[in-house]
Amino acid sequence: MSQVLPLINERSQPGRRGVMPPVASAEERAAAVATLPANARRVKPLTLPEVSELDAVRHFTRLSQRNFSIDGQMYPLGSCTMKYNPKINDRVASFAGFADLHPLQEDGDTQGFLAVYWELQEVLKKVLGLPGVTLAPAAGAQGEFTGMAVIRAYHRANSPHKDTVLVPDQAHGTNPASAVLAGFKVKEIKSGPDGRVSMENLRAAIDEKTAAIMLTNPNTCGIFESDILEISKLMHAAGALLYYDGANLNAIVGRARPGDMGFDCVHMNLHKTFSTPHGGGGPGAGPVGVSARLIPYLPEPRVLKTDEGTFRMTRPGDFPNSIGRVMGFHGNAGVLVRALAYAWAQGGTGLRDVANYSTLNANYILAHLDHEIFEEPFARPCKHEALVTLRRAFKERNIRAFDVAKRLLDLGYHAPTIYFPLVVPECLLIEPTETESKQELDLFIAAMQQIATEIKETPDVLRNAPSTTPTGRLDEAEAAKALNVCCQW
Amino acid sequence: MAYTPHTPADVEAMLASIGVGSLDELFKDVPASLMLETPIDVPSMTEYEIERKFDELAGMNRAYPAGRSFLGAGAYRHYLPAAAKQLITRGEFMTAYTPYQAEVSQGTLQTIFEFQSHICGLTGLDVANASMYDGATALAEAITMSVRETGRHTAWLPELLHPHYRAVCETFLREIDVEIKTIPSVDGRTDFSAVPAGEAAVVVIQTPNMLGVIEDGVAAREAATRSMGMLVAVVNPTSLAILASPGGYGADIAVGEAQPLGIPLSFGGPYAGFFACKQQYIRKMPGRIVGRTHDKQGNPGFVLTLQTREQHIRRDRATSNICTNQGLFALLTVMYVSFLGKQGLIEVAETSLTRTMQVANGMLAIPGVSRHNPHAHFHEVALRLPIPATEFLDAMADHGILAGFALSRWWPTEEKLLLVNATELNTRQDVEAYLLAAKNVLAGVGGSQRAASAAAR
Repeated sequence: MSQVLPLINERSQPGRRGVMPPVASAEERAAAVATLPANARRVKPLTLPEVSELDAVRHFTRLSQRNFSIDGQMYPLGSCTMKYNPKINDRVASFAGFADLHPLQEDGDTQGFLAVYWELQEVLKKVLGLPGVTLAPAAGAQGEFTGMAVIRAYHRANSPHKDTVLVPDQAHGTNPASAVLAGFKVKEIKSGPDGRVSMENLRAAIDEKTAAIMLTNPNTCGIFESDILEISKLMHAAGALLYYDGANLNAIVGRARPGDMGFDCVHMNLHKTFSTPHGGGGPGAGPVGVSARLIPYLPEPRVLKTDEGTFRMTRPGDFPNSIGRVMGFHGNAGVLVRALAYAWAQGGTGLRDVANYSTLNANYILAHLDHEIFEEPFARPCKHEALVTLRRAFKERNIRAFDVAKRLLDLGYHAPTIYFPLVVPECLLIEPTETESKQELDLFIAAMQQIATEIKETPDVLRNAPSTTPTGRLDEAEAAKALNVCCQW
Repeated sequence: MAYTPHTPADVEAMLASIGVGSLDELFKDVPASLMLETPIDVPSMTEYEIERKFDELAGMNRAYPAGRSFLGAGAYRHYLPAAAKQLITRGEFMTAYTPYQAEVSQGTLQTIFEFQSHICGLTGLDVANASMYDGATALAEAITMSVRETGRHTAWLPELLHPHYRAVCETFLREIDVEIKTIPSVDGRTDFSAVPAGEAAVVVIQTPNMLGVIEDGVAAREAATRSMGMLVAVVNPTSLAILASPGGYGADIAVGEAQPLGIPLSFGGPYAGFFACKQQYIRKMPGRIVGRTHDKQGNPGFVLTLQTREQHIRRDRATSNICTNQGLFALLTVMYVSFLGKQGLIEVAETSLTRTMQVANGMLAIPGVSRHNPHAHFHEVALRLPIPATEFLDAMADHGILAGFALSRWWPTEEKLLLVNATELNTRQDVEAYLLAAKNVLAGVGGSQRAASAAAR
């Protein structure tokens, strides 16, 4: 594999053309441009690529070959749920009736898409066990902001002095970040020694200013919060609400519902639980489900069913207490089509299998790891992800989770999540998902066994890893110092 | 059961090897009362049935061929080359993860770096991020950044800012105590002289504005300086091929919607917001940033950089909560820009302007039609009709033409205002067909079935 791939602009030759767009004649264009005032015209010359179509095809093809991807490699990334992305989903999302529809066309023109939204809303209500759903947020973090803003609006109307949100120390960083953006103060509560919320610390933290708690269940250690019913009773008694970060929904989807646990507000990550592609960094979608008392505050727009059985988008004034728009148009509609296709491929029985087999797969890996090296900080069973720590290997042999991650790249696996959650040092969070077979898991386990042996016998192999990838370890300090983020032409 | 490979033999072997008696035993830590007894009520379909069902649903949408549509108003039809349509479906792009493990993500990282470079090239600013959710949320983030940077809490937004952008800003800024003040307009163009001297966090200019009118960047810069606020420019990337760049008139931050760079209309999403700013603000910028570096052997490569700004490290003190963004669609715009190239983008911009002027001039030749305002515009123009715009649109739909946007949907009292957009996809023939149909409709010839049934309701 060639080491250096030029930037697309570095392939430019002045005057070289790629694909020709349809154009008005040069005379027509010159006449139109001449009517623009001089001070509106571009002065600085435009510096964009000048390459042939084949140049560009080779460029992007070669770049793609420098990527790992689910289609090529297993990605046991804890908390990311990197399951197989079904191709039928991409196919249906590309139908012209969906791809070419303008967001501002009137409801009469868009009944198909409105039906997709309606159907997905109904599916998610059943999955979550909650009566209200919005499909607007573009990603999990935006879903978190939306949910917390809904909670803020609810409290503003009822008990405005409630301005503090409780967040466990093991929470994903988007939780406190989103709470702050929604206008809350954040109070962190320390987890207990069993990796769960400590009821003692929770009781001590609740006061009359507590607006809500943000929880993940199973939590970021991959363990189910067994006291959840007691927690929700405690919070509700204090006039506070429960927010559910749905990142780990894969462990319980179709078998248990956040609404039944007492959660008032839930976000899901469709690019995790519902198989929509990660795209190298998005797009995702972060629908939010809410209990009845929060429905009036959901963002715009929503999709409603009329008495005649057709669908319509909400109009301004339909829901005067709505928190308003969170996106320019209607959310990541193309992602929602894919999620609905997935929901129908699974059905209720398939979703139950997702929970069962993702959990089985994680427990299978956990049980077969070398525990001298990969220590288990918490008791089994885990749920859909397994947390191990290299705490002892670090202390005794100066080998870190980082080194294991890099060595796995050499062995053809994307690394698991490392150094998250923050509460366990030198940790690896391993989430195989349900789409990996026993045979693939056995190969992964063998790779982890090889690494455990290398740690004991030839640790330098890890320290020098990766050595089979397009680059070796990259200097992040240099990147932060040079700050070369934009090719200056 | 779909996509799970487990056979009964697999399950039995796996359970036995870990000493667990049943799948249910793995859920013994979940209170029994929470475990559903029956599966949730969602049907399951084969792949063939799914394709049929979605074919039916897609058929319930009326998507106009690009040449027969003249509707813009924030989302624009432009040609995406076939090669890009195909390359974007490569699994190595679509099913890759966020490039945290840089050594196996050089493809994604380099394309993000190229996206950042193209956005800097178009906007004339120094640094850009890997994308935001869309143009509207990018603007909200820019205002938030200005508030944080200046310590002040007043944001000046033009009256002629796209109403959805305004609405999104209101949702986010309400929670962080920002007062939005409105810059008035005169005759379809923003009057930046109305911004007083004083203590503002930010002055916003959108150009072209919601009526397609080209705004005065220099006047906006003067207003920002006078008010002590930062200047945020909301811009259309196609227009930047031929119009003045925000960097050129001194904007501190430029944001906008990258959808016009080949992203399908797709009922409003997924799109991709872009965010660029001056070098001095790089540490305050939200979103992911890719930077160049080297490995130990001196090989060049790319990594995510300045991650200490982001939520996974700074948590409650992060510059933003954004995590997953719109990566695949930022990549699509890199492909678009690469396949069309510099000259191609200029031709798209010039042709879009040309066709819009041809539609406008042809409409103005029809008795009763006049311009809303006299100002220079890009590829969108507001026209006053002799009949309500909604009636005009219904009648044009009977001719198979999606003739524009009725501004009464945003300004209820302005019944007769029509916003028309043309792009390079509206050929000379499409423009002539539009004008022929419009002449018929406005001469009272060939009524509208929809208007008649609407009246009957």
